[in-house]
Amino acid sequence: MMDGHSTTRSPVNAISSDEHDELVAYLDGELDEASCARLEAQLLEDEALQMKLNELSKVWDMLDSLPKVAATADFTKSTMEMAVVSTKRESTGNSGKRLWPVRILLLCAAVLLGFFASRWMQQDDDRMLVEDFAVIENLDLYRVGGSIEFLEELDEQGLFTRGQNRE
Amino acid sequence: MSGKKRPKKNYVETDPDVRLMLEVREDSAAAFEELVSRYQTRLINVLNHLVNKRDLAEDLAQEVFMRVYRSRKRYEPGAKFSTWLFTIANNVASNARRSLSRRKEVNVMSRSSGELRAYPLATMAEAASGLMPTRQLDKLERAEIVRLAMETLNERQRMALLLSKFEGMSYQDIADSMDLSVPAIKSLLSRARVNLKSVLEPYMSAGNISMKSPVPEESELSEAKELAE
Repeated sequence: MMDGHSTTRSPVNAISSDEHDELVAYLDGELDEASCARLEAQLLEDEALQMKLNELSKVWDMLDSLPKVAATADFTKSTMEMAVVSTKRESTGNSGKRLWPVRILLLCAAVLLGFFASRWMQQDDDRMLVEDFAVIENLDLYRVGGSIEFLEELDEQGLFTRGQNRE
Repeated sequence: MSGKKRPKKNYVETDPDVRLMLEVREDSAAAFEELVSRYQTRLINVLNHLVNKRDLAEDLAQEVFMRVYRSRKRYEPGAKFSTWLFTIANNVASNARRSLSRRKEVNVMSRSSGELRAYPLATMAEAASGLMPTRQLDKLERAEIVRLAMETLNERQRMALLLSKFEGMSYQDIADSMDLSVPAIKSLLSRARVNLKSVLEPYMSAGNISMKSPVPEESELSEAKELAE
């Protein structure tokens, strides 16, 4: 990591970023045993390194002067109230989720109902056409005939039955 | 959770807060209340140092707890409870800071909030210039200097430093919380301390104050490069 034989450095700032990382990790107790022993041996010989370590350690201690704040008296209570509201919302949301299959079934039923209703109406139209087939077939003749009364008179005179008898 | 997966049994056995969270998963209100009670002050302090506004820190802490509560049914003990909690806190604080900076209020708020506004930068600059009689700075001033020095750190450096200093988290736990690698955390913490030292050095040596400019751009760039790698 560093030149273990040198006793002083000039300038002090010449310490590399890797050395800084090692010193900080050492202060944080994050170095393994071997690295720790190696660094401690170097610290014994290197005044600049010792100075850097002290400075970093002082900076660390200065963070203790940062203001500490405490939670307000009702923090726990209001947080628990929020949790209760959240639970209620969850249960409302869950009941909404439980209704989904019912909603889907109702939708399917409505679609099927619509389908059969339209088919029935279509069949009804067809049935009317079948019933009136005889009229439709002779519609041109009926048009020539003019009115129902006139046709009934002709029928009474046996005009239509005569034709059928000839056949 | 991000990071290396460790056997879940370990956390259930070794971390009582994980056991409490498992009770919360089973809808125990008492267990949730206990967790809130245990972590509220720690969480508010970390968030307060991140956003520099006490009221906002409390609101964010509540948001963190609510996220914990809302995700209770999906909770699996893949890390220490505190690691998981501070992962959420990190995300919540990042979002809050982003929205604050979008509204361009962050500087106004950080200067006008808190009990320490009697010590503005101008006063400190005067002290540093030697116009004020040389004296030992009082506790509040010292706290304000350190707070301002903290503000010169970027968001990641500050979070890592706070978790290391005030939560006593290991590099591995910080890495898990911040979704970074252990070497990245090592580098982040080293740079944070070096940057803090460069800002606080004049005060440390002479008892006077001299606030340097924020973290050098070059340092930021090389850090971003390392994190990207």
